Amino acid sequence: MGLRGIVDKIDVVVVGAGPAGSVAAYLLAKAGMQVVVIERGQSPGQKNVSGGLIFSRIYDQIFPGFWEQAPVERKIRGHGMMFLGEGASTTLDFRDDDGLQAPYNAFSVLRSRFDPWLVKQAEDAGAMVISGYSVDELLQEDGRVKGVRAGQDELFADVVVVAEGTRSDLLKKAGLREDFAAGDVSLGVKEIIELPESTINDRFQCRSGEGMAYTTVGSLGGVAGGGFLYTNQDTLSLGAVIKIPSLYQSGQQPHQILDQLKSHPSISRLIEGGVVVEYSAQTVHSGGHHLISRLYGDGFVVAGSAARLVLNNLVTLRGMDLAVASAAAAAKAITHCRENGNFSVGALASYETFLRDTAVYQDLVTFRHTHPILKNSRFFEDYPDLICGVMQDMFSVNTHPADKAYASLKRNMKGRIAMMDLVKDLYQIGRGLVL
Amino acid sequence: MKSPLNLDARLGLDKYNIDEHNSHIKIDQSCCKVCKDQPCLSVCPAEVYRLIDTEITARYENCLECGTCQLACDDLGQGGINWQPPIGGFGIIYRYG
Repeated sequence: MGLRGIVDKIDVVVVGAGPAGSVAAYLLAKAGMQVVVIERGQSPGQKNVSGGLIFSRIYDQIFPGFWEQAPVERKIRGHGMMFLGEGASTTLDFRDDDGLQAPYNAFSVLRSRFDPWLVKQAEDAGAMVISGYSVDELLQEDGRVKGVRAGQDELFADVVVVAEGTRSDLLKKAGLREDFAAGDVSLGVKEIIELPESTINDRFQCRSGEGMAYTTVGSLGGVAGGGFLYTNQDTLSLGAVIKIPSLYQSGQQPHQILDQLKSHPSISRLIEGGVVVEYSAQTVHSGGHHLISRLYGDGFVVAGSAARLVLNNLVTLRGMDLAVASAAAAAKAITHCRENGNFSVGALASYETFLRDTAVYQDLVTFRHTHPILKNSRFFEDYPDLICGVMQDMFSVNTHPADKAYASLKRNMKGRIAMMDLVKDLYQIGRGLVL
Repeated sequence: MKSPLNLDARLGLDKYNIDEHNSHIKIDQSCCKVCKDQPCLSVCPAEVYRLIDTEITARYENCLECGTCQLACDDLGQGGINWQPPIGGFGIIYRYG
């Protein structure tokens, strides 16, 4: 169904049927508002890509026990961090059967399957979903957003929820957001690799329905970034997330960097015999408290990645839970505005107030000093090798006498890392992550 | 180990609904001509951009719709790329996502 035939003015237009848009639409429709969601994919989910991990508790608050119905892949039993050195790797591997008790901490998902379920909840709550339509611009009058234009059709609303994802083109075109610097954005390239469910169970030491989520550091040809490897039911999601300026400076192409990750001996054993069934790419904001961009204005609110609501604290890369939390805060604000019949910038400012009350916003504040680590080249160029070098010394029994760890550390650092830099970097980690 | 998939083989796995009549990528060659760095040529994960003779061309039908080219061009290049989403329903169709 097209935009024609809808009454000219409705309560809310939501742009984009990702987690932010669908949850906002669901909550607003449930509150009795007339909501239209416009999605550019022919059917929802077709344009949506992410690493594929959702942290579930915020979803559970909105859709209690959602995993019973939603197409999730595996509940995440454990998380790991793999330091990929030259021909060697050191992995921190955390497994916890509490992760297998409801409410589960995290699930792996495939967005083209999961997102249609989310938008269906909005539809069932009474929202109208129009897919296969690209919104071309936000309609403005006297500095106020009044609706959207898609092709020849215009649709007016009291408020527009901009949930169009990372690129956030509409706000840019309308002059309603600052420019995003390439240095604050990464490119994610990903493959879906098919393997029998039982093979995945064996390799990752999981039962059916349980899975692992690994992040990787190193083995990306020296570019700034990291990798991820998540288990789905009968596929793996393997990807590299690369800072765009670093990608450009390296002169390497994204798929070549992904190949380096795939060819690391500790990764190649995990994916061996797998068949690649999809190759995808998506930009992702570096995230962090300092990068949160405009959240609202006269007649509009911005939710999810379009407002750069992403959190990367090295251990977890979060976006889809922030999308949902911001959508819920926005929906609450809009509901209040409607009760008062006032959608001005001052009234919509309550969105930011509600957002600041959420745990995810507090997390952004808590980890506000983590982002410099993500720009520090020693973390992805030197430290994986250093860690593996020390490990090799510790576990090797040679015919010459062994060193204690500090002597091994110094020898492995020689000519590559200055002791002062190591101390500074430990301080950076301490400030960002520990204290 | 098996040799890695080349890029065309990877793109061949993906499903598209190609808009035969419209490219969603417009290129202003006058910008590209004075662009020393031409970041679009290396950053695109689908190698959409190629230098043919002296012109930057776009194989828009292969686009994965990530948006990297626009950011790289605006920030590191000369702003010659104007990337708009394909007309609704066209473009990449992710089956897994």
